[in-house]
Formats: sequence, structure tokens, C-alpha cells
Amino acid sequence: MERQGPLTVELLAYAPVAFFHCQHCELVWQPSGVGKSLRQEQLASSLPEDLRAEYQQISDWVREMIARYGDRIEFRIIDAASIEGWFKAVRYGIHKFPAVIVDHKEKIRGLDLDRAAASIRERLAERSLT
Amino acid sequence: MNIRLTILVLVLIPVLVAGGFVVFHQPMNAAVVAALGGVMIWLAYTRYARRIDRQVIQADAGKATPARMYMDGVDFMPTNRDVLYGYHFKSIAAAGPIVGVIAATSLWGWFPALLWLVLGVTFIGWASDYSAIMVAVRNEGNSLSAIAHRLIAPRARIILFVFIFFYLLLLAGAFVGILAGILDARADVPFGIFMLAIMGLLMGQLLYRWKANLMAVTVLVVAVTLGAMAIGAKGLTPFKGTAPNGKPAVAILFDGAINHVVNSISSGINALSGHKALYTVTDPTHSDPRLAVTTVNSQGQVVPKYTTPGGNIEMLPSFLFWCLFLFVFSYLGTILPIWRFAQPVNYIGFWVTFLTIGLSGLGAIVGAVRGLFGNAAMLNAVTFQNKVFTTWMPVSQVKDAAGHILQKAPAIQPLWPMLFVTIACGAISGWHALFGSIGTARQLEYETDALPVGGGAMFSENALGLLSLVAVSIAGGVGAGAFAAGVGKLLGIISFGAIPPAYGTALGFGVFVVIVLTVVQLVFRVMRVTLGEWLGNTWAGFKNGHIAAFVSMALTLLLVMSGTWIYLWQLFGASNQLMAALSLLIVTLWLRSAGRNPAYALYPMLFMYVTTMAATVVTAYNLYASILSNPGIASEPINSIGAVAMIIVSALLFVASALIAFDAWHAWRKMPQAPVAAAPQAAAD
Repeated sequence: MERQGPLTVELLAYAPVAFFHCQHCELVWQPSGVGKSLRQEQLASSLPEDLRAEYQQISDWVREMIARYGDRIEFRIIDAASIEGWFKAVRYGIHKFPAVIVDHKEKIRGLDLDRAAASIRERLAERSLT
Repeated sequence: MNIRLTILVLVLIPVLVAGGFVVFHQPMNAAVVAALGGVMIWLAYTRYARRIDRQVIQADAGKATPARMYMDGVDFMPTNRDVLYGYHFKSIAAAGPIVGVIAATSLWGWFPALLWLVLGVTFIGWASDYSAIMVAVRNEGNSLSAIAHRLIAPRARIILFVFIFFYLLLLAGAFVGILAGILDARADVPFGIFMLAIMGLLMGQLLYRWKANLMAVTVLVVAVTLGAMAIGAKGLTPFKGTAPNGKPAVAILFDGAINHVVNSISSGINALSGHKALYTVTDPTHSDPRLAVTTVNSQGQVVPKYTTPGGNIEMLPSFLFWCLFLFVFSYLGTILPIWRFAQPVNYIGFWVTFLTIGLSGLGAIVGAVRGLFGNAAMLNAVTFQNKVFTTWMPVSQVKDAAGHILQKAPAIQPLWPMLFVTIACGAISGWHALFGSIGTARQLEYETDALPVGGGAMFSENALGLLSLVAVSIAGGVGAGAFAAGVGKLLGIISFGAIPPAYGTALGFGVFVVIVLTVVQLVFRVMRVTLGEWLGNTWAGFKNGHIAAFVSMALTLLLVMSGTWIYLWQLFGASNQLMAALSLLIVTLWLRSAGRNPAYALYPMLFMYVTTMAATVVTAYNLYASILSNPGIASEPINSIGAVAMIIVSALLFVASALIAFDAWHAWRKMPQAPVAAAPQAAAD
């Protein structure tokens, strides 16, 4: 029987942004701690308070899912405010963030992570039957 | 095929193809460049890079990468290679492939620029990017500096630490200098940039505060920004008249309400000095946007607006004003939270660039194909108008109105080494290597993804460099103006004439400014934080973001006002290429420590090292020649202080290069007796 790949779970959300094109500086400063502060300074102000709290919730949920299912699932976290995020939003017809898309099919809009977890569970169960 | 034969073939193809056009006096065109670039990228990737990947590095999909071993969902995260490729390309492709190619084509002609772009990426560019990622992957995701510390000496890290601030200063200075020149010369450009700032602020509020619909907000802000960039073209009127010598001449009049407001601002500022220049400078590249600008004087004659009868550029107070305008824009990106300004501006900028440059690239291909299929007008539209080759060593000297030379020593631009630091990104750049080692290495899912991601992104950036070369060369002029005119031509081709050249050119200027400005605002942000970290304990004032930002901008202004942007650019290029040489040096030492053949990294590293060091010497001499040896310019304290500061930076770069090379030589000699404990894989091999 052909082995199935991991279940793809795409997460569209406003994500914290740190600009990596200044990484040559971080490269030099990282061991002395300056690089870290540069990244932290950008990440700390990259989202308003409410969205940052929301992203923290999402991040915790992703870790929980990875801990539970390991390499049976593959997460793709996409910043909604990016070109890729825009195309994904158009493709899946999503107007509200965050959104979880399970297996390119089921769309869960808003912060309904319990429903998303249930969907992942169901899909994985279906796969194990086939 | 034998590796030596492969290398020979890869060298001969571009030399014979491009050289054949030169020898037989055939006009070069976009079709040939597109075909040559495509074939070379394919051959270099499949016949050379892949071979190194398999035989020297021995990438193994079965080996666990740091992303899989230490996955934490933050830094270490296995990522699909297609996504990672896009992410890596987006991070490395900025203004470099455009600015460097523009300057080099003006200085030496399209032939040397084309050869260096193609050969540079084939033998050095991809190797630097790809290897930096692989070294970091094999060293458990540590950054290059940490590896440098282990392989070379602790001193290397300290040296890097010192010159990085100057590197940022040079980058900011070079970019602000060229942008201020465009804003000063083109009344149709500033409104688009002003609206970009407004749209950035609006988007931040709409998306992140009011949670408005992303698609609608995107369409609104991108459309308004593109419209504002193009609208200036509505007021352009060509005025056909005569020059004071009676010859026919043309001036472009910036009419229309918006252009009129911009002109009034510049004119009002210049009235402060009675419309007199603060001082004059010379641009050896002849690519300063102000050089080509003409206006109509009170007698109805067409006269140069910024250049003196001796051909020098007049530094008017309006130039200083547009520098300040850029600083205000950057100040918003430096001080405001990322979501308020920097992120939305980058988002809008990326869309604007993606649409304009993407369509221009398609225009080059469509135009070339239509030309090859017998459309003579189309073939003519994509035929190169620029010089094939100017001279081995362009020389420039400031003259007065009567033609007397004011500058005691001429400034020189020898093809070697200056071409190789003028075109950095597009052929090779340390920036990529360093980014790759920090970000990408921690996200690589399989070792075998390193080549398509790191090497592939570098080859893609090379394609962007070739597109810039095509845009500048088919327009037939020099500088950012030629690039914008070329983009205008290509947009006309792809839209089958629906976008008139004037509007396309306005978009070309706008995109050029946007690409550069989005980088500048973030450079100042980093400088602001850095100053606080470095000097905050010496004087608490530096911990204040406003003061740190002000000091960073004041230092940048000092450099910008001290002369011509090209010296800043070339010093930035030298420091950037030193990073590239250093990353190749680390790769060389790592390969040697692992008992593998380091030749593919060693020879490019030696070339880049020697070239970079020579370039710092030439630039230091040029600063002396064009500023300090000209009593008229040197008498202004801001000029002489700026020039001396840049000469000191050149000396620092030279000394830093020499010290690192010395330490590396010691490490190399020690290695056969006492191999450095590098990658676990290396020990196992």
C-alpha cells in the first residue's frame, strides 16, 4: 500500500513580522545578544496587543497539535498580510482571520480551534481507514 | 563530462555568444540576453551546482536537519522547499540588482556588465549562498559568525562587529543620495511616494485595528499607490526649442496641478539661496538623475537645470530638502510600531514591484519572441541602444565654466576591481549568504533542498539583474532614468500599447524608489536599535529611539552631502563583497577540515578577497581625488569631513580584510595536523 503524506493544515493569520534582510547584522550581533534584541524589538511591535494575544493562542494550539500527531500532520503558517496570504485568501474565499484550512478542503473561519482540532482528528481517522 | 571541461564550457558560452555580437558588430537584444541567461542558469545549475551538491558536499535527504531535530515552531521549523524558495528569494531580492547594474552599464558598457552577471552567478554567486546554508545546516544551525569564531579566531567576530555599523551607514547613504537626486529632478515622482506613506498608515489602521477585509484593503491601497505614481505623467509636456548655441533641444515640462505643487516646493526652497548651488560635484557614472534634466529659461531657451557648463552637478538646497523628505518617511518606519508603517509599506511596495517588474519581465520575453518572429518594430524596441564597452578606466575631473580643471587628481574607475563591487547583488552578494545561514538553514526540511532554495533563489536574482540590464540598455540612456524608461517600454510591449510610455516610465521611477526606500527605512530602524545597544550605557540619550534615529540620519546626511553617491555605493559594495568572501572563506576552511576538495569555494574566495581589498584602495583614492584635491569642494567642512570619514571607513575595511585573511591562513595551516571539530557529518565521512 502506498504511504500517504502528512495531512496539510494551513493557517492563515496576521503573523508577527521581523525583517530578515538585515540578517547580516544579526549574524554578527547574535552571539553578543544585539541580534536578538533587534529581532525582539521588531516582533514586539509587529502586531497590536489583541492580535498578538490571538497569535499566541494559535501558536500554543499548533504546538499542541504537533505534540499530539507528530509527523502525521504538516502545518503551514501563512501571514495573511503577504502576497501568498492574499492569494490563499482569494483561493479559499476567506475574508476573516485567523482561518484554518485542513487538507485543502475544510475551512474553519475565526478562532474556532476546537473545531479545527476535531476536523484534523476526523481526517486522520479517515486516512487510517483507507 | 569532466569537471574541468564543464567549467571551460560554462566560461566559453557567454564569452563566445556575447563576444560574437561585439566582434561582428551585431546589435545585442533582449531575446539573446534572455536565451543566454536561461541556458547559462540551466547549465550552471544542472551541470555544475548539482555536481558540487552531490560529489563534494554530499547532501543527503536521509540526514536530519536542524529544523527537524530542534523544531520549536519559532526559529527551527521544517518548511516546504517551494515556500522556502519564495521566502528566500523575497528576502534577498532588493535594490541591489537594479542599482549596481545601472551604474556599471553607465561606467563600462553592457558587455562587461553582462559577462560579470552571468559568470559571477555561475561560479561564485550560487556557491556562496548554497554553501553558507549547508555549512550552517551541518553545524546544527549555528550562524556563520559562530562558525567563523570556531574555525578562524575570536578576533574575526570582533572585526565583523565593528564594521557592520559602517556598512549600514554606507548603504543608507548610497540609497538616500540616489533617491534624493530622483525626487529633486523629477516632479512627477514625489507624490507617489507621499501617497505610499499615507496608504501605509491607512492600511495599518484598516487591517490591524479595524479588521477590514484584506482583499478590499489590498486593492484600495495598491491601486491608489500605483495611480499616484503614474498620475504625474499626465502633466508632462515636451517642449521643443533651442539651446543657447542654437541647436534644437527638448525640455520636459512638469505641468499639471500635482507637479506644479512639487515644483513650487523645490523652487521655494531654492529661493532661500537665490537659486544658487551650495557647491558642485561630479558623477563619474553620468547616471545621476539630475544630469539629463533640462528646463526653459526666461529667454525661452532650453538649458540644463542642474548642470554647470563644465558638466558638474549643482547641489541645490532642494536636494537637501528631498533628503529630509526621505528621512521623514524613514523616521516613520524607524519609530512607529512595525504594524503601523513598516509592514504595510513593505506589503504595498511588494505588490507594486511584483506587478510592475513582473509585467516588465514578461514584456521583455514577449517583445523578444515577437521580434524573432519577424516583427521588425518589436525587434527594434528590444534592441540595446547603449554602448557595448566604454573604456577600461573611466576618468572624471571637475571643471569650471571656462573648462579649467578644478580637481588636481582625476577620479578613476578601473574595470577591475570596480565592476565587481559595483554589481554585487545579481552576481554575488554576502547579504544572501548571511541571510541564508541564519534564516533558511533553520527551516530546511531536507539537506537536498539547500540547492533549489539557496542556489535557486540566487539564480532567480540573477534573472532580475539581467532584466535590469535589458531595461537600461533598450532605453539607451544612463542611470535610474534609463531603467525607468526601459520599464516604460516593456510595460508598453506587454500591454500591447495600452500603457503609454510616459505612464510606464513614471511607474518605473516609482517602483525604483519604492524598492530602495523600503530597505532604507528598515536600515535606519536597525541603526537606531544598534546605537542604543552599543552606546546606550555610555550616554543614556542613545537609548531614546528618537535621538538614536536622529543621530543615524544626521551621520547619513553628512555622508550624502559630502559628494557623489557612487563612492558610497562602491564602498557598500566592497563591504558587502567582503561578507561574501568571508562566507566563502569559512566554507573553504570547513571543507578542508572535513577532508574534501575546497576548490569550488577557494578560487572564488581568493578572487573576491583580492578584488574587495583593491576596490577599497581605489575608492579611498577617488574620495581624495574628487573631494580633497579640489579646493573649491574641500573648503566646505561638510564635504571634507565626510570624505575623510569615508576614507577611514575604506581603511577599516582594508584592515579588517587583511586581519581575517591572516587568521584564516593560520587556521588553514593548522588544519592538516589538528582538524577543527566541525560538523558531525564531516567527522563521519
